[in-house]
Amino acid sequence: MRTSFHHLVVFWSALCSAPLSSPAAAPPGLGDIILNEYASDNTTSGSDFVELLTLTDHLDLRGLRLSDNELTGGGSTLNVNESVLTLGNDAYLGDVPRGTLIALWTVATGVVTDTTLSPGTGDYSLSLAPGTGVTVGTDGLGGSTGVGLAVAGDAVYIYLAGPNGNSSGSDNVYLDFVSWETDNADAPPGLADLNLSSLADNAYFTGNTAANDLAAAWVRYDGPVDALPIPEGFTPGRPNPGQDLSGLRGGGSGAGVNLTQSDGSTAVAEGGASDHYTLALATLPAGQVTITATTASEVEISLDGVSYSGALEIPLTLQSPVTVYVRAIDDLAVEGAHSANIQHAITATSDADQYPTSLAIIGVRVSIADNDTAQVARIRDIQGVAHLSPYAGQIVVETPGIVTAVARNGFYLQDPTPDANPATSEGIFVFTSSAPSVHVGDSLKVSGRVIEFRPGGSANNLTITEITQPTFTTVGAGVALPTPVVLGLGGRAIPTEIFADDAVNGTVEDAGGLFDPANDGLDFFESLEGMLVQVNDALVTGPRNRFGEIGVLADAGVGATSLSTRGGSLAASYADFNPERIFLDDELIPNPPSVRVGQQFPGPVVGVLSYSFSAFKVLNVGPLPAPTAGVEREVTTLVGGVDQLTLATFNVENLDMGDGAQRFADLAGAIVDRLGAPDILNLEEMQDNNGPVNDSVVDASSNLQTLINAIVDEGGPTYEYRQLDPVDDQDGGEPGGNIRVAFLFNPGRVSFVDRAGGTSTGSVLAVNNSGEPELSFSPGRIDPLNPAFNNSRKPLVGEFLFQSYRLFVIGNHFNSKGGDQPLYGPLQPPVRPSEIQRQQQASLVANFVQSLTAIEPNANVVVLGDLNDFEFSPSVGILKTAGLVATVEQLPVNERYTYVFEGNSQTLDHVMVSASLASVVVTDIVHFNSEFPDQLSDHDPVVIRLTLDGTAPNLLLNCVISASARRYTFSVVDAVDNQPAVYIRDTASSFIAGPYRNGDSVFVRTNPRQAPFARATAGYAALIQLRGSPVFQAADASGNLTGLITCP
Amino acid sequence: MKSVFNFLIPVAMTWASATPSALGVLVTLTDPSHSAWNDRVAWSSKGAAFDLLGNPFTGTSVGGTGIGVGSGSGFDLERADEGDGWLGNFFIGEPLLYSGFGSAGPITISFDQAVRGAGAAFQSATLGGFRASIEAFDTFGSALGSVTGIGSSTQDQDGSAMFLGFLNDTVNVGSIVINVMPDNLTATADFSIGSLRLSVPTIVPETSMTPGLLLASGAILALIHGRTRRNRT
Repeated sequence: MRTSFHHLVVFWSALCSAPLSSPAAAPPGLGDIILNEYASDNTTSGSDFVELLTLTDHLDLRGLRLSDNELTGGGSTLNVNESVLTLGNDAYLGDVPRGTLIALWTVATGVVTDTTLSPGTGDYSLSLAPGTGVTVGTDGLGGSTGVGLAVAGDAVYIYLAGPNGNSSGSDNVYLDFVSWETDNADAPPGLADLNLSSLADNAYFTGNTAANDLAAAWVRYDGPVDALPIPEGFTPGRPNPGQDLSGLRGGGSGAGVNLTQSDGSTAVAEGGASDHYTLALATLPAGQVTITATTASEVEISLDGVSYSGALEIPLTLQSPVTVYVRAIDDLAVEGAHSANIQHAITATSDADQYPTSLAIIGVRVSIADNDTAQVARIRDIQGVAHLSPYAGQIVVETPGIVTAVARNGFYLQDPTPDANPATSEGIFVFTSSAPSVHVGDSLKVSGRVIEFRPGGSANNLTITEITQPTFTTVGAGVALPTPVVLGLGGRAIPTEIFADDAVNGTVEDAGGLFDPANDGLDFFESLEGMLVQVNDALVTGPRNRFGEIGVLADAGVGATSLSTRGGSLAASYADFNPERIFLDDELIPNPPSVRVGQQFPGPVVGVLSYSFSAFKVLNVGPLPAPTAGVEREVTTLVGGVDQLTLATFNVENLDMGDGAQRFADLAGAIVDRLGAPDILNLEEMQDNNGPVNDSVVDASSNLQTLINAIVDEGGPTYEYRQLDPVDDQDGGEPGGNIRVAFLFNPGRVSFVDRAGGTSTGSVLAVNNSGEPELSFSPGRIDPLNPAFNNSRKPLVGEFLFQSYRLFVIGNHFNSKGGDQPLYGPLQPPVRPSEIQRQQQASLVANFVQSLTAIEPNANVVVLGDLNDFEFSPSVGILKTAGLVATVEQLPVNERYTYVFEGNSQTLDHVMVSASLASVVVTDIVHFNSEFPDQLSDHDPVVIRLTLDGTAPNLLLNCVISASARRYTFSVVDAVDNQPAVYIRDTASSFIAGPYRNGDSVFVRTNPRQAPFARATAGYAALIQLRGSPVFQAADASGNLTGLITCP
Repeated sequence: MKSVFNFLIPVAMTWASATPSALGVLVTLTDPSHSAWNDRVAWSSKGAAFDLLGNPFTGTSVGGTGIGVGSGSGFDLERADEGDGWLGNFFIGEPLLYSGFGSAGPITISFDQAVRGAGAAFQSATLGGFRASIEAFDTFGSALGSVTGIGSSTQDQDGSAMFLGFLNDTVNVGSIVINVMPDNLTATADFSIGSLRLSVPTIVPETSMTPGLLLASGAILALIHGRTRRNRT
């Protein structure tokens, strides 16, 4: 049996205006009476009022209160100096019919009161003012009788007072609430906080008739209500514009919706059986009428008692009742007895005359019995052996711990008596939302609700186990803190390769997965969440970023699996992204030192282990030790020469004129002094002239020329540039920036082969010119309309001539890694969807390279740029299939990186060369950005030097004449070939002797009558007999020949 | 230096010495016009410049003395003329025997009859100083001694090539071995010799003739080969 609070049957029809029985009037419950209109001019002219609307018959409104007190602090604190209007003990308030509009004026001056109700004649309005049906006062908490609704923002609510008599009492029955200020007032328990705009100082309600109505159902008006009479339509006591109360008042056609609750009420229990009610149209509709039922979060509804949801569409074509089943959601919250509302509205109708969508329909208030109880738990119990707490959503009481650190919105609590299981953390964050009143060293017993807080609500973040809405008692103060857990040597060994390999269904939060803190990085740090930890001799692996985070390795890197030569933490393979890398974070101790890779914080760093932005972090609780010295910025060792061409790729990170002259000068200085003014420079992220200004400008000429001028100012050569403007907003990057790839080249060293025709959208092709490849246009872009390059940079191809060599240079900036899942996220293994587009881009570039080498297998091709992928990535692998060689692989593994991301050093920038160049290339990654907190760019450039022997050797002959022959000693040197050859030709025959090397001596005799010969002879290179005179010629390995030389 | 004959003629830029042997007393002669020379081998009889003469080859002196010539280098000996295949300090047009391109010899010349002495002008192909020597052997192949001279190789074509010869106290010289070595040991060691002067008996004493001297040319060549082999060991 369910208890009945008031009426057994609520129905809403003129035909049924005579109830089946005549129930006694009863005080209103939720959904029986609502706030319908208010005016808050806050004058004393009497124009401030609140209008109430009854939705249920036979309401006893005597003693009903309206307060413009403001509840704050979770509804527990009264904002004083507000007033309470209390309806009097008048008879006309003892049995009020539904559809009645009751205007409550805040002052009586000028108000014509109305205390007469006559439903039979259509009089459904009352007008009450202080002294007539209502009194103004305060409650037990104080306040004032200074009645008035504030224009700048206020709030009102109606309630039935409980025994303690104050307006915020937990024993009150709150009925409806509206506020029109910027969240300065909290809704009473059980009611929605609409937060109307503070400008909505005069508003009325036209929506569905229910408590907890939507903010959108309130309509602001700015009528001239300061003066009486109030204009028609805004008059209190009259239906608001668009509001149809005929159904409530039993007028019109008699149409309406009958709602019948089983046993007169609806009551369910968590984990218990369902209850039900019925809905029926009072009249036969002309067509289908659809009623939508929606519920609060505590209950679910169903039409068949099997499939439940939070909302139902109930199509009605007849008058037959439709049963709606209700059940409680079995949550874990300790809530005690509580309630929820089911609201109804006509959302579609084929009978707008009888059943318009504006027709108000009564809701159902559901009583819910709770099956949860608060539990006593220690922190390790709350943390559990998993990523998600077994207590999530539950109330815990008297959880003991010592405050180890205090944050701005909570504090860290750690159990001083840990268990022996390292998998269960002994620490936890207690969320207080504002600065807590605890101190480090306080011994507390904390009660509150356990939640798993997922930062930002992002699916890429693990959750933090927290206790929220805490109450606590202080047991002691100044208590010694627990000993920090040492991470690394002498403490807990940090997994060095595996992040998580036991996830089930793609997430470590799946209960079916193995929690393995000994081997899995995620589990390791999760097992220490919230605890005091200690990192000894932290080695900096990445510069301090703008968030105050510093990537480090414990124990100066001892035990780390992938250290770079300069102290960084290398991401050397997909199998090892360095779970041993730790973040130090300045959340508790601001202003950490600005550090670079290779520096160390000698000694211990103690902090609490937290998590945010997809990473575990040690929030140090004391200042960081003074760091040692770190690495210095590099200068390339590669310089060009007569036969040596230098190329570089450099991501200049969104360079545009708005960056200022100093940045151009700094970049120019780096290009000249650190990169050695390479002969060809491939630039990525060159923006248009006005950078992020998101207009139609795509021209970058000012940017490029400014950089060129700055290079000259820094003592560099006068470069020229080639590039193609992108189509506006089609190449990704910073909005409006129109980043692109551009070539700078030194015309004194290398020439650019201009071939007209290149456009933003034209696709460059390899052309076969008598067996030699050339470009259809130069510069050109590779397949720019291919979807693979959507919202990404298009590769730029240029044809260059260096001495006798033709080079095809392809500058790239592949799509970024945006969208890839993080290393320390819940989804494991992380998915890297950005690779798909990069692989497509790599395939197109590879195809283009092959179109060149198909014409000439020894075509000289250089593919370079920010490929946004690792040397071991599939993208680079695809480029290799075109015969390209990744020059970075010339370097030792621990020198391969151009970028530092979250403390991991990795290679994103590459230079790849065709097989023809593989043996003549030397590579240098110039580290002067990525490892340093003050960066010209976030990338380190890559420089290569190609030794392209374009000049002949230098041959000098030393001639010594004898009586029979001449002795020739050769001095022959070449800029590239260390063993150039000397050949001797017979002017009288086709005989050629050689090759002879630098320093060789030969004797040459002219004997016109005998066959030429050359024979080796002890002591010198050869005896050579010719028919005619000898001429000499030297050649290098590249086939460069000197002229024919004779001895002077 | 041991001087035996008072007519020893000093030659500019040259000097010569003789080494006594157990079997003979050799007197160095540096004068190509010395009266002792009564026969000669004119190399022009073996062909024109650049002709390959083989190794070994035979020939006959103007006076009829048969000779066999071989080179220890294994290369063919050649003909040259001053100014044609050789540019030295012989007289222009002078026929020469050339050791061969790059060939240091030594050159062995055997006689089909015993002679008392032999001499010739020498020039190392390598310009500059050089040393020449003639080692004499009797008809049985026993060493009689040697003479040595130091010369200077130029390209003056003035007939200044160093002349070196010897006279034995007995007419029993069956062969000679000629070595020419430039001072610059890293240079080529080939050389040329001018007309070979011989001192032969005017009346060939029957008793002095040994069976070996009567051997046919083939026998002479065999001896040369034997000498060559010894020298090379």
